[in-house]
Amino acid sequence: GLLTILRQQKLKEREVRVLLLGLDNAGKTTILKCLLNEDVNEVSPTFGFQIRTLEVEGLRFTIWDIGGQKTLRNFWKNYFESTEAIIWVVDSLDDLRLEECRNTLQELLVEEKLLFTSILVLANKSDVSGALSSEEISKILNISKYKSSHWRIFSVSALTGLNIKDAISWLANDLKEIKLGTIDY
Amino acid sequence: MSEKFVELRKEFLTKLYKSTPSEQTSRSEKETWLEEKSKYLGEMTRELNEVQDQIAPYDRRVCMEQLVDLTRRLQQIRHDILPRQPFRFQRALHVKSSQKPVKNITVNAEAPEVYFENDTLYLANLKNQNIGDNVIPYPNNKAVKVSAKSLRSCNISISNCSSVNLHNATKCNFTFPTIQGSIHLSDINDSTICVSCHQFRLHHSTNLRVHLRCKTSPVIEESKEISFSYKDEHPILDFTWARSDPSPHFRITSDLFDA
Repeated sequence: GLLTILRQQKLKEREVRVLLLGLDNAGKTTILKCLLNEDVNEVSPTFGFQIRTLEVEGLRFTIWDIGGQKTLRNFWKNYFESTEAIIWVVDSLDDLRLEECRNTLQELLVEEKLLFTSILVLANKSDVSGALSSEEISKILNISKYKSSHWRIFSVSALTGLNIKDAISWLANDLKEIKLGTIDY
Repeated sequence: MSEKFVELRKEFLTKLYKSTPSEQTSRSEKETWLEEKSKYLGEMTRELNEVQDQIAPYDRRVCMEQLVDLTRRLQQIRHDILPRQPFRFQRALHVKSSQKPVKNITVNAEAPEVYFENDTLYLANLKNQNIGDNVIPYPNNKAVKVSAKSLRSCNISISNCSSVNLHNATKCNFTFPTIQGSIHLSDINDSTICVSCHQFRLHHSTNLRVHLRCKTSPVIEESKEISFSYKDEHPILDFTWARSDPSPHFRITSDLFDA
């Protein structure tokens, strides 16, 4: 009846499809495991993808963790449909590949299906000595050229859990604003 | 129509961001480029107006919103690449410019670099060099990050590392007995690597002898003629070999370093 339809609609409003992307070895799966409070010491390279769900600030995130190896990046586009947010993971220690990271991200940002998504950039491994700061990474990635709002960068560590909860809360609140409040890109 | 609009919009966005004029481009060229893009946008608006009676009100609204977004993006780029010139009286144009000519600074891209900054050892453009722990200013053997590129016939040995990134090396010997995090190697040829790490990634490399201890599955991509001396439990994964039979790009031997 009507009540079931309304209930389903309400559930749909709370559901968010999130893509977890980044170059290989950035720490995508470790971040996902950290969010789910699982053991982060036993992580192997992602061959293909995995889907996990997570409740954050009243929203139900369906997170698609897709392998970042060069050979797998061509398949990313198959997952873009109805994506509402992207979590882009950067290895803060890998200064030699930041340019490659920037180019790959910028290719994503001009994708038709991803134009109105929220972007959360996680500068991972920030606890290790020699890590670049989020300001330095933000400058190199130059996201503001493509997006004026609905993106933010956080320095995090999946291994220690530093800032991960704050970052995901920001994303949840931003998505709530888009879904329930006024849309302003 | 909406499909055509999507195509037009994608094409416009690609043109807008892929061919954005650089800072060196002359003002007139930038103006021409911006004018072209404005014309394209005008064309899109005209096409939408022509068929607006045939499309559903919701689609029409979405298309209009997207057009407004594109216009805003173009304005932003105009603002970035072609800022409005400051106001000045016409007569001022006749006054001689007091600007001094900028000196041409030539940077030697091949200059060798060995320096230590922000807990990181940077190495670049080295030939026939031996680099060891003595270049690190820490007395207590604290873990450091190593970032090295363009090395020829060098011996690099650092005993305690947080992570290592190597790019473009030929005929080198690398020894990293402790890497707490990952080692990422790309474009390494005819070299020997002796490493113990948490994660191992190898890209675009040929003819390597690798003595490896790794706590997770090592990954190789677009590499060939790699000999591993490797006894750990996690299998070596070759992402450029999707078939079930063993990858021909690498082999595991036990006698690599016996000599």
